[in-house]
Amino acid sequence: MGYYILKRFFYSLLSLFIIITASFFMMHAMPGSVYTAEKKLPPAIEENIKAKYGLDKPLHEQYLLTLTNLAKLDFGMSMHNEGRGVNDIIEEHFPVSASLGTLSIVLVLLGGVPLGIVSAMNKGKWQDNVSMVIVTLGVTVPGFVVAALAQYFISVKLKLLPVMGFDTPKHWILPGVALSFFYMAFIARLIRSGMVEVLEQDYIRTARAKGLSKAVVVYKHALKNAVLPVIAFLGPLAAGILTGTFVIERVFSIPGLGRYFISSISNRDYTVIMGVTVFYAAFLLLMVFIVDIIYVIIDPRIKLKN
Amino acid sequence: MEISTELFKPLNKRTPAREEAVRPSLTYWKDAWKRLKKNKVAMICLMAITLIFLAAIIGPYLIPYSYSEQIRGEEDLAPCREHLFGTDGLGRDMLARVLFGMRISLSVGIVASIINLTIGVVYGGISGYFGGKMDNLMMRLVDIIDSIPTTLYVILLMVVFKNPEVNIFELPVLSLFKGLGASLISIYVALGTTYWITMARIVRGEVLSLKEREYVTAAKALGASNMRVLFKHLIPNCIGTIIVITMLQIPTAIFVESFLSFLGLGVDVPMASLGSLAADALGGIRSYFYLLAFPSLAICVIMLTFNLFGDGLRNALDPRMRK
Repeated sequence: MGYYILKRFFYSLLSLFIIITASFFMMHAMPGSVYTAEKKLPPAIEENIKAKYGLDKPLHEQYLLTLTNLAKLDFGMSMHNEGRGVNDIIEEHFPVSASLGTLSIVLVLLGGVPLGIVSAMNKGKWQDNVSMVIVTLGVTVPGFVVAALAQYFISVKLKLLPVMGFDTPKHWILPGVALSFFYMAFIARLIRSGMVEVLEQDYIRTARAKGLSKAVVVYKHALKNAVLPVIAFLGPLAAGILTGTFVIERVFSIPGLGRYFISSISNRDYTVIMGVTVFYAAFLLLMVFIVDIIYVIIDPRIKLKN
Repeated sequence: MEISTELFKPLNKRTPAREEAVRPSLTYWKDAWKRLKKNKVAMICLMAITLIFLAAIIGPYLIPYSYSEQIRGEEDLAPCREHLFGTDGLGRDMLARVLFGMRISLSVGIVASIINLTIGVVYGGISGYFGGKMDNLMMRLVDIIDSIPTTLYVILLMVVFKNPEVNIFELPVLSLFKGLGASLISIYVALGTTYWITMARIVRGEVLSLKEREYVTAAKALGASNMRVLFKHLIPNCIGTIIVITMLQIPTAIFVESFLSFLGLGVDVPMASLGSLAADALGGIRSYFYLLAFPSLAICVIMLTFNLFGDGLRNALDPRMRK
C-alpha cells in the first residue's frame, strides 16, 4: 500500500513537472517580447522591464528560476496588472470558484445518484424512460447553452432568480445547476449501469432469498458496489467542474478564477496564464491522487501486487 | 434388450452428413449492418446526420447571402421570410452563419478525430505488438499524459497558436492548408493531438490478445515483416472497435471546439462556429433571443444524433453482441 501511494505520488509529480516544462517552453516559444503588441517602448525601458521579469537571462537560467520559484509556491507577478502578484490573484479569486465548484459537486451527487437508482430499480418502466431522456439531454447539451437558457427563461422571462452575480445564495442556484447538469446526467448513467449489473449478481438473489426486504437489499448490498465507479470518477469530475467554471463564470459574471484566467488569455498576460495553469494542474493532480488512494482503500477487491 | 435390424435404415443419399447451415453466412459488415438496421433510433440518427452534412456542405450555396456579408439597413431583424433565422447586429444573415458554423464544427470534429485515430492506432498498435519493456515505457507515458488536464493543455496550445506573431504556416506540413486560416488549423492541431489516449489504450489491448492467434504465427512463418503483420493483419482486425471509438470522439471534439469558441479561443472573425455564435449572442439575450437559440439548437442536435448513432454503432459492431 505504502509502495502504491509512493508510486502514484511520484507519477503525479512527474506529470506536474511535464506541465510546468511544457507551459514554460510554450510561453517562451512565442516570438517577440510580451510588450511588442502594446505601444513601442524606448529600448532602455524595455531592457529595464525585461530585467525586472528576468527575461534578459539565458533560457536555461530562466527555466531554473521558474522551477525554484514554483517550488517555493511563488507564481510571479502579473505582466498586465502592474504590481499584482499571481499569488494574490489566485487567493482572491479561487475561493469564489471553489465554492461554486463544491456546490456543483454536491448537486451532482444529490441529483445524479437518486436518478440513477430510480432508473435502475424500474428498468424498462416509465421512470427509467423519463430519467434516460433527462440523462441523454444532460450529456448532449453543452454547459453554456444550459446556462444561457436558464438565464433567459428563469431570470429574464420569469424573473424568479437574479440574472448574474454571486452575492447571495439566490445567486448561486442557476450557476450551480448549469455547472452540474452534465455531470449529474453522467453520474446517473454510471449508477444505473452499475446497479443493473449488480442487481443481477448471485449474492443479491441470495439476499432476497433469505427474506431481506427490497430496501435493505438495494441500499445495503447493491448500492455499495454500484457507487464504486462514481468514486473513481470523482477525479475527472473535479477537472470537468473546474474547466466548466470558465464558461459558467463568464455567463453569470461571477468573479472567480476561471473568468480571470480567460480574461488573462485575451490580455496575453503570460505570467498569469502560466501561473494559473500550473496551479490548476497541481490542484487537479492532487484531487485525482486523493481519489485514487481512497478508491484502493475502500474497494476490498483491488489487491495490489507488491 | 434386443436390437433388431428393423431399427436401422440406410441413409438417404440426399441427406447431407453434417447439419446444414441454419442461415446464410454473413460477413462481419453485413451482420453489423443487419443489426444496425433493426435499431430504429440509430437509423433515424443516421438519416439526421446525413441531412446535417448535406445542409452544412450544400446549404450555404442555396441561400443568397454569405456568412460574412453585411446587408445594410437589415440589421437585427427577427426571423422573417427574407431571413429565416433573422439577422445579427451587423446585418448578417443568421441562417448563413449557422450553416457555416455547422460546417466548421463538423470539420473540426472529423479532422480532429482522424488525427487522433492515426496517432492512437499507431501508438497503441506498436505498444501492444512489441510488448515487453517498450510497451511498459509507452504505457507509463500514456498514464502521465492522461493525468494532464486536457482542457488546460488545449487552452495553452491555443494561446500559443493565437499569438498574432506566431505563424504556424511556417511549419512545412501546415503550409499546404494556408487557405483555411490560422485559427482553424490551430484548433485541428490542438484537438487532434490531445484525445488519442483512449484509442491507444484500447487498440493496445486488442493487439495484445490478437497477436497470439495462429494467423499471426502463420504470417510470420511466411516471412512477413513486423510492420506488415501489425498493419495488414492485426489493425484490420480491430477495425470495429476503432470505428466505434472514432464515432464517439467526433461529438467530443465538436463539444470542445464549441467550448473554446465560446471562450473566444476558437475561429477568428468574421468566421463563425456554433460556439462563437452562441457567445456573441449572449450580450443581447434579452432582446435577441433567437440569435442564441438557433446556434444552440444546432449544437444540441449535432451532439444528440452523433452520440445516439455512436451508441447504436457500438451495439452493432461489438462482436459480443453477435449471435
